[in-house]
Amino acid sequence: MTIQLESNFLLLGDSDLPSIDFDRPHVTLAELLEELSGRSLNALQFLSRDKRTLDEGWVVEINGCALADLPQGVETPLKDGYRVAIKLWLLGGG
Amino acid sequence: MKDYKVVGKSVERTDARVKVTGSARYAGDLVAPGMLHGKILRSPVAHAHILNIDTSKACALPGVMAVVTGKDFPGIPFGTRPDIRDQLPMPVTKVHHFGEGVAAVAAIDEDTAEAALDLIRVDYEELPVVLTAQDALAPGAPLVNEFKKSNIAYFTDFVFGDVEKGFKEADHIREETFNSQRVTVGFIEPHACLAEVDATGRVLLQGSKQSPYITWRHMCRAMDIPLSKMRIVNPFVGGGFSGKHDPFDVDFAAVKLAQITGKPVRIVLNNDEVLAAYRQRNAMDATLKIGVKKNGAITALRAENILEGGPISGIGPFNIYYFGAFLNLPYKIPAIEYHGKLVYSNRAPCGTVRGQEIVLAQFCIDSLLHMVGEDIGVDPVEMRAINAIPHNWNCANGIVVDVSGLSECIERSAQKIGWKESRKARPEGRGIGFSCASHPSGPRLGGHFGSSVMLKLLEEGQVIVTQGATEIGQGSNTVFCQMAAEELGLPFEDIIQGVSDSDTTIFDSGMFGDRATYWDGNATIAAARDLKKQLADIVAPGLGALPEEIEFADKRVFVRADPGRGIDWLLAVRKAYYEKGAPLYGRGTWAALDIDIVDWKTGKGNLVHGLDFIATAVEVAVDKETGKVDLIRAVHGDDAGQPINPAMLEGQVNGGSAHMSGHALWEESLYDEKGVPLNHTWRDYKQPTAMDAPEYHVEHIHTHDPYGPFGAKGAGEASSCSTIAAIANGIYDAVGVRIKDLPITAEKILAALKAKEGK
Repeated sequence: MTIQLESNFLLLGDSDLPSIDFDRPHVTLAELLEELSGRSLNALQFLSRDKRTLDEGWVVEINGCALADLPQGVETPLKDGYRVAIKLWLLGGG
Repeated sequence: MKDYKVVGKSVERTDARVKVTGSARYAGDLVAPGMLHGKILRSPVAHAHILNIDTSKACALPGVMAVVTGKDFPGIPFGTRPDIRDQLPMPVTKVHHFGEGVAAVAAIDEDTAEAALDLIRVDYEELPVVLTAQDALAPGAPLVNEFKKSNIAYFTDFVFGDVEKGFKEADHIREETFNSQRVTVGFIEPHACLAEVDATGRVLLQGSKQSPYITWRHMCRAMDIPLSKMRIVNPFVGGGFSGKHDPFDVDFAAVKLAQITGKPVRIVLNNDEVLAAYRQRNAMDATLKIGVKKNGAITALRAENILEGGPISGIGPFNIYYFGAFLNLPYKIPAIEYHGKLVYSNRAPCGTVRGQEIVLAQFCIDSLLHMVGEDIGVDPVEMRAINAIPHNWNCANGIVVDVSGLSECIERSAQKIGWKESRKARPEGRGIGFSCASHPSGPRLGGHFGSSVMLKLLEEGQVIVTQGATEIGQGSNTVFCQMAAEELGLPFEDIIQGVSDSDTTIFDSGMFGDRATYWDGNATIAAARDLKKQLADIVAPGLGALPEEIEFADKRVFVRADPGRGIDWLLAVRKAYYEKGAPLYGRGTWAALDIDIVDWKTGKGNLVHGLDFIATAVEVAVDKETGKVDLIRAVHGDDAGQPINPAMLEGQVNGGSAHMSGHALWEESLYDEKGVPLNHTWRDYKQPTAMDAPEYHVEHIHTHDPYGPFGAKGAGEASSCSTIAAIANGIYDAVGVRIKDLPITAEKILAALKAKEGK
């Protein structure tokens, strides 16, 4: 299955990644994010320490739908052709 | 132009008297019952594995209450951007620069804490050091940061417009390389804080912080505590200049020691520690290529820039971004290509300094503009005038300039410095240099990026202003009080500045980028209007009018169409309190919702409002025998929109210029071949003093920014950006030598003069 990716930064640290292929039919958002973490030069940490929520500073949408609106959160299953947008937000102080 | 009562007047700063009489309390002055004193043990080497830290003897010393090392923290990295979290509170496996804090002690007094440091044994295994960008990028270079598999901390590539076409259309093309040195930030007050932990475990941190809420967020993350479990209060701050955004080992150690001991812990650094081991400005290696038409109009620009930033990325990605995105200002450049890299090294960590890396970009561009102007025979003033961005200009990367007074800034500065007259006759060794610059009034970050202000109406009629933006010496509190007074129709003296406290003030994204006057100023006006509306609702019925017909001026509340029908402000306040039982608060928020969030990939977007413009002319005298440069006069034509407090604005403009004159001529943080700093004392590090400052003059170019509070723009950083190239160009004008490698020391000038004369 192929997941389309969007971001406002270089996903792998030194290069972009427009899509990612998995050789299994079922992948959750958390698994996708962990896969990206492993491939990145910057040791990205998308998930909180307990792996149950997004870490601060990230905004993720699945097919245009905000993660906060998805009942399964980071455990949301992804299907072939889904579009996942990952954006970093500089939170500053507030 | 509207005739204001308080805005536009040079009223006395709200903090002037307590500061000049020495009664203002800074972090280092704070005391708490049972307070312990903290000290930090620092690495004597620039790069090494930490094999072992033995604190047993220190812990056993009578009077020592606790010792902490990096292992006492949860090991959660933090950083400015979520994709580059490359810092720990204190190092665990390796040290990255000389002076990095490896352990901290809390003791009953400073002497005991100091003695305990001598008893801590740290075993290091030294590693080869990376000191320059060339070292960092060399094949096989040792890796500096353990969270990154490369010494390239960050890079970016931007293309705005058709660069190839731009160079094809050029009549003349020139390429030059420029370098800039490491400089320290230069604030007066060293880092200091007092940490306390209450019975519930909640932390109170009072520190010398520029953006306390940035510190708060990073610290809570790295210490794995919820935001609600930390309160952060800002005492007086003795300058920030971008060097006090982040939490440092000082802050982390004080909090951890307070958590362990249950007692308040204060740590106050000395200036030697700050100069050796804390934030500096990046060293720069840049190459710029410019294309121009015969009349001087720029057709294209290409820039490559490598910043060497120490062992962490910090705010560095922003430095890289700002250098590239703001090549679009203050000149009309239809096409720009930019490649920027931030690299790690084993020198002190970098943040940025006043003006951010627009300072470095502008040094390059305005030096190059002078050179290329000379090539094609166009006068330096004309060269800038022909390229100056006008009103309603769309930059190649999408920035929209609403209002620009730059052309008038150029004209007035040239006139005041006597440019035309100087071309007819001038003393030997005298020269005049020009440079321009523009600085935005704060970018839009993600997350909570707005500004909020609260006005508390006191029973006696005064109003307390509190806001998330912090006073760090720049005068923002005075400006907010002026704005509140103007909007409420009260005398300035009736407005009281409150304290920045995370328990009571609304969180703010930070004090940076000239944003406070603009963003929090607009929020102040909104809060004042909210307060007026509440008061109008209360008094209108008694005046036989509708609330919207009520006006506020001269400490009175009255019917707009019939000013005689009104009551005293204090009576209106008393009605609220005593008749309605309604103590009133005005609340105001403001955010530029119509500008774009930074796009890190492309650099494109309408990033900012409130671009202030400046044209700086500096007259210098160069002694050909010694190479010594004296700054004679500096004139700044400055468009900050409506000046809110002209005297304070001049202080900001001239202060920024004086600050960067040191960067231009004298300052440099020097290191030996092992990365040990050589001049980390104020005796040896040559920052300018009042004796080095030229005669300054500011020509206020009044414009009205459509989004700014009372038409004001941010100010304070533009002159930092324009000064260095103006000095470099002035030296060239004086003695005909071009130094492109900062600082422009007497030795470099003498060597260039000798080379020119063939000696």
